[in-house]
Amino acid sequence: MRKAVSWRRELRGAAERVPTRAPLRHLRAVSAGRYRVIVIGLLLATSCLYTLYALAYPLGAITRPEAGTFPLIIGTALTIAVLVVLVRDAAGPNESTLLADDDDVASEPAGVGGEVRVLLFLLNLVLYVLLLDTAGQFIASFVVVLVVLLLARSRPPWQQALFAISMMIGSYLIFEVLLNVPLPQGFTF
Amino acid sequence: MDFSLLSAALADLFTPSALIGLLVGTLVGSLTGVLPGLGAVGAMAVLMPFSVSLDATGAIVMLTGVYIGAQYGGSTTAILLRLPGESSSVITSIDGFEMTKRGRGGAALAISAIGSFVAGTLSVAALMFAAPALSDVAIRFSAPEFLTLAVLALFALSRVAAGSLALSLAAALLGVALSTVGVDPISGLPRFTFGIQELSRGLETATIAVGLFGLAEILGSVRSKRHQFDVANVRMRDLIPSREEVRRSGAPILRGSGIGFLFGLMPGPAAVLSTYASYGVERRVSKRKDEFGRGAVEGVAGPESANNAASGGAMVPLLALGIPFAAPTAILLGALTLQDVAPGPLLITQQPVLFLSIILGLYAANIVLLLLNLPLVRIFTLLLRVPQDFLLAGIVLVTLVGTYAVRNSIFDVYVVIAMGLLGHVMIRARIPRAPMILGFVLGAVIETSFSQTMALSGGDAFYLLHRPIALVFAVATVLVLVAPMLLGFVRRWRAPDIPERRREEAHETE
Repeated sequence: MRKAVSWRRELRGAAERVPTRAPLRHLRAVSAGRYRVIVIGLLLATSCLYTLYALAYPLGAITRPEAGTFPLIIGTALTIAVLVVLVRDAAGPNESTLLADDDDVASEPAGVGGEVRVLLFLLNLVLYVLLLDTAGQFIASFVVVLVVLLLARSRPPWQQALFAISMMIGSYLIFEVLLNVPLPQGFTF
Repeated sequence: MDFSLLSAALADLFTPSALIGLLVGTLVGSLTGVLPGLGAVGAMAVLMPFSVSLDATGAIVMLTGVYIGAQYGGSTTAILLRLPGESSSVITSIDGFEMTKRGRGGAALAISAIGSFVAGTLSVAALMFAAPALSDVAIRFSAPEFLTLAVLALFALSRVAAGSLALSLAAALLGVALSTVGVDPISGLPRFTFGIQELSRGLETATIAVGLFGLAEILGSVRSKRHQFDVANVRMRDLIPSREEVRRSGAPILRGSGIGFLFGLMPGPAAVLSTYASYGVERRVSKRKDEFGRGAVEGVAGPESANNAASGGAMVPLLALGIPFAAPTAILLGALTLQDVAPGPLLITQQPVLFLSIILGLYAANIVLLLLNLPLVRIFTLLLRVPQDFLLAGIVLVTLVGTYAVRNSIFDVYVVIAMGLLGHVMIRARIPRAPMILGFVLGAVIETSFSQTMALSGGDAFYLLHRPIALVFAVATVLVLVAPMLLGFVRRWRAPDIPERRREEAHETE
């Protein structure tokens, strides 16, 4: 842990020595580290819980594995792998903390606004499912599209409403009429 | 060659279902490649629920069309804007964009499309011969062989995925753990269902893939608010390459095809890795090494052929063994499962028409993509001007309704949202997602073959020694784990000698 602290100190020092845009980079590296520690910590908790749950199922014998055997092996292996990741991360930057994922646009810095947008977006998706169950596909699809456009805040309301209505009708025609998918009708139809 | 089978496969390919799949897949793939964001695997995942409405041939042709189409489309923006739509087009953007700056962007696009087509043709031909040959061997496989092969695939992908081995393995094991949710295949006991009825059916591959790749990419776009692009104008007459450019591209296309196909046979992100390998080879064998990085046509022809050939190569282990070696083929396996088709050694002997129609579909996708991409290059690049918010809202709705449509389950839509969040968190924490989807898809195979192997072994710890093929896979797994560490150790051990040797060499020259 002491090594991790000294790594952060080194980063902070390096950022202060570079005059231009480096401080932003330094902030990003530190916050990405904290974020990662939290995520890996949650993963460790999940793997421990999974392993404990696996113990609740019958384990059988070595030649006759039962419902709990395979999950127990996987849970134990997962816990060990996550612990190794945690230890390596604590030891300082390594290839997995510094190298970019092959498709990691979402790991670009976006600030607090970006996180709020993601949260609102997810709430919108949950709202869609709740509406799908109660009000049906027509209203749910209209609302989800409208809220996505509202979150983008890039065009006048009449354009947003028009696009939401056309998507509502379009999705009905594609799924219900063309593909014969019985979409939830709720109280609207 | 049995011509009755061939004609039956052709008849299968000319059904409305397969033709719709072909057209939709290639179009969506090209668009996905052109528009940065969703990615080939994400688009495949989003379209996967729709594949249920098609027959098996249509479903596979549609999804492979997306995969190959994304390679074609990705090169368009890589060459014209230095904006790779796909990670497999990153290498192309180096020399491709330099050619655009010199006014040869159209020629680079044409060479890229022709190279992709030739590579696609060659890889489909190789697939036609390699898959049955491998399947003849694989027909002798039993539980221990499938267990060790699936474990090898997981470890090998974890080794080449971004990040450390432990992290990739953790992601793969998380996928395997998710696959254990539902009824135990041996005893029928419900596991990890927490009293939720819907969970006893297990989690659907489509739901996991759509969330982990499709929705996670959408969340990434929401977070970073991507902007519009200015696009260079390309006229039809600009697309004609010069005689010199064609002459210089021939050998790189053939070499790229070979490299790509071989990489496709191996676990890992074959399309991406093969482009780097092809670029390296071209640079090494070229007489104009100084031109690389400044607009060498070989730097476009080789990698573009390689990434397309890799798509064909990746189909060999999927169709012959039933084991996917990368995320795109894991999604294809999920789509085949939705169609009640089990790929593997028996597919070629028991369903030869389906096997042939899949191969013909792959080839047809290459033809359609060549016909689409060259004349419509201007339209595809203009799509970069489509308002991103409209595009995003449309994709979100299609993703949500498509997920619901797979099993008519509202619960699945909740799962897809949860998986989307998980995928987003994984991207931000730099945890690779490809091993996770592979782990999820292979989880059931590993568990079933593990139980059978344990029963067959009768408690014998050296059982694998009596199964030579399984032993080879087990040794290969150990090598995948240990070899890079040993190589690193040897390199570090030899490193101090290098300056010493240089001093000796300098002394000798003096």
